[in-house]
Amino acid sequence: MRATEVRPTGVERTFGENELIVSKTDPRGVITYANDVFLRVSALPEAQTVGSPHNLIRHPDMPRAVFKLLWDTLEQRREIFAYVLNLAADGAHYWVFAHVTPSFDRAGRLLGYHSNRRRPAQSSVTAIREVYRRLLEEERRQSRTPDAVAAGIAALQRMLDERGVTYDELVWQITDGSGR
Amino acid sequence: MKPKPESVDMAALDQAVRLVTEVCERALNGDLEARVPLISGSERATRIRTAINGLLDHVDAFVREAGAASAAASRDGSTGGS
Repeated sequence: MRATEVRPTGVERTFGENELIVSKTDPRGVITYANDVFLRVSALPEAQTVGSPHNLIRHPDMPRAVFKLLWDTLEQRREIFAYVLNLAADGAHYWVFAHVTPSFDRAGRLLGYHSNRRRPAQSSVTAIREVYRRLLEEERRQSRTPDAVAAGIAALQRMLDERGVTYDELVWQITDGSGR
Repeated sequence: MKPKPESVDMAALDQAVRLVTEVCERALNGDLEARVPLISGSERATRIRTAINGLLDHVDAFVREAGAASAAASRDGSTGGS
């Protein structure tokens, strides 16, 4: 909720090559843990972060389709790698390459989700920006949220079909530098 | 008599040692979800908390990434891919 009130300033923030941004959520997506790098880069105090929904750092320029894909994948108890543009509480933005995985207890019950993010290469950011720009363009033609999600998903699928790749393959092409 | 700020610090450190020990024991038993909760009152307690949690974050991330890599390798192997 709060993220919608923060206006992006256009200031880009980055973090160390060997740093990890980590957060954990419960099964509903409420943050239960955020590491020091998360708090620093997101310009958030810990007390305000833990207990908040994860969309606290949602950036308005992130396609809805990507979050839909992310949650659909996690609900199937599968992991996902995704490029995500996040919004810090002070209006700065930062790109991450996220690996989001469900956490299970020994009995196989879902405990929640874990996301660790690394700093993406600049060339990967350039490539994914173009992909997301096309998704956003389609989503913003729609006035209703469900229609926007559907339009974004359809646009993503067309893009994957054009390239003859799966979503995972596209992500790894971009990561390995062959996706441009 | 001067106040004794050291005694306040000791209580926070004691708490930190207890919390860190609990988290390390849970991790040792395979529970990498555990993290040391917020400890106030001592800069040294805060530092050890950050250090232990950072260590666990890296181990946790490594285990998850290694899991993803071996899953990808076995998928590629089964389809005869590169």
